[in-house]
Amino acid sequence: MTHSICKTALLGGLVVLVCAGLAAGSEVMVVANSSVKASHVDPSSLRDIFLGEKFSLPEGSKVTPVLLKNGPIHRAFLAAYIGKSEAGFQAGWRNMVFTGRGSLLKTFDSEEALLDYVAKTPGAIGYASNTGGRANVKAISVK
Amino acid sequence: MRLYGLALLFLVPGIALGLDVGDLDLQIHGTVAQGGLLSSHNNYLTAKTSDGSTQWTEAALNAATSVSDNLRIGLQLHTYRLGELGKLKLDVDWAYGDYRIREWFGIRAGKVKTPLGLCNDTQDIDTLHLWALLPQGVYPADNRSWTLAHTGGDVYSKVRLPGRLGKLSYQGYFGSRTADSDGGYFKAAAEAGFSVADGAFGRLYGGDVRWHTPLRGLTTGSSVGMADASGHLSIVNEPFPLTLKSTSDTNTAMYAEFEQGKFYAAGEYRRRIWNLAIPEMRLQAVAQDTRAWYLMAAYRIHPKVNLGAYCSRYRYAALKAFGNPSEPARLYSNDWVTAIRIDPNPYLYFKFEAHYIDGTAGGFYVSTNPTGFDRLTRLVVARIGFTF
Repeated sequence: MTHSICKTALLGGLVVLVCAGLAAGSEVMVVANSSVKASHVDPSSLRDIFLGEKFSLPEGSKVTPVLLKNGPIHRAFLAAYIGKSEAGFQAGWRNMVFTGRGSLLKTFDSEEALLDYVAKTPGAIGYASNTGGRANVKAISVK
Repeated sequence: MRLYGLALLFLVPGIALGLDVGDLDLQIHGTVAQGGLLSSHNNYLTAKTSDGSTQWTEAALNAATSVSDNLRIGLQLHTYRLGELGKLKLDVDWAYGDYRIREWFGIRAGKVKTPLGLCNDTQDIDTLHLWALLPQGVYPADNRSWTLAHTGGDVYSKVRLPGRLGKLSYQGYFGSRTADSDGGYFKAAAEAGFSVADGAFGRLYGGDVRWHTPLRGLTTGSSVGMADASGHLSIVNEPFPLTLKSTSDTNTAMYAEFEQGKFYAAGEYRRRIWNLAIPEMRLQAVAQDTRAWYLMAAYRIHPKVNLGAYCSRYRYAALKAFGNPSEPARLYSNDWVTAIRIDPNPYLYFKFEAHYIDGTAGGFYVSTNPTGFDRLTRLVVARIGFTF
């Protein structure tokens, strides 16, 4: 009886963890202009691109990262793929700016504005909760 | 040139500037910081801190643009005053072209910030740090002009290691540098009876290697810088022109830092071997071997509030110099620090910091402490900064 309860609890816990993982993963989606050939990107390359260390995807497409100014999608993206807090991420870019190694990325107040920019800018890559139905915006999976 | 540095910052129209000049996307950024220091008994960093001092102002303004996919150029002006040092002279902090030959390999030429340890290239930009004062044994605010930047060329690279071993980045440099005649070294030299009127000039070369480990957020590395220098010297009661020549100056650093989400920790060890001679007198003026280290940690308790603490130690492992200090407390300094930084918005920040310093080896000058030194110093630091 006890053994059965333990198994059920473990199974239940596993289901909760999987659901939580799926939910967390579905919060934020990497999006890019349809000129970007890749359909997926590895987490390390994605991190390098948003930290200003790389300018192209492994398959060769040159990309220009863009950001949301703040908000839950911005924080979810940083937590899931960059591993930095909002302030830590901003400090890293300020470091680049004040040592001359980089310029600040273009930022947008809303997902709509970011998606509009991605739709009309070849090579643009960003993130949102969905593609917003824009014709020139595609989702990029991270794996 | 003194106050013009600050004035220049306020002539720039607007805030958070990104200008389109023809096809160029020119970005202009700047920062201004004003500090206050209050200490028990000892005066610190040439300011009259025991009375409370606000003689600590710092500002920088930069402009940079990407001319093409591979070429980036920019310039940063910097000015500071800290007690009797700096005097708000306007300096070029960096000005260089950066050409990426490959995505993983590039070159820079011009005046470039020198990589040495974790913070050498950013130690004069207050907005980038939680701390109002970085660990002074490793990053002395009164003597940073000597290590901050070089004029010459760099090569840099970042490559992915095979398997899952992470990434390796390196930077090598060769160039020359000038020590500011309004900096701390020459103030200390003057206290010992030497006068170096025009600063000192010399060549340097070195490199920095960093391993970005497979554990996300953990970086470890090592730097080395080797240099020589010389300057025109006059000594009290000595009528002939003399030369102060550095026969060796080797800085080595080993460090690690870890950042994950709201947590940050870092540690660094530094050793410097430095010999100065006066060839005309066949005299070794200074021979010193200093060791320093720090350990620091910080946690962001709120998106706008960062809390941290560090301990640092600095000591002379060997010292032979004119005017050798006789008190043991002049040969070491231990600093325990707690700090808080508040960023109400992206353009404004406040810092508050408490120091408990045992020893008076660095940053305590005889001329600003004419009645002698206490072994212990309690110091409170506040800073307000603006950045765009």
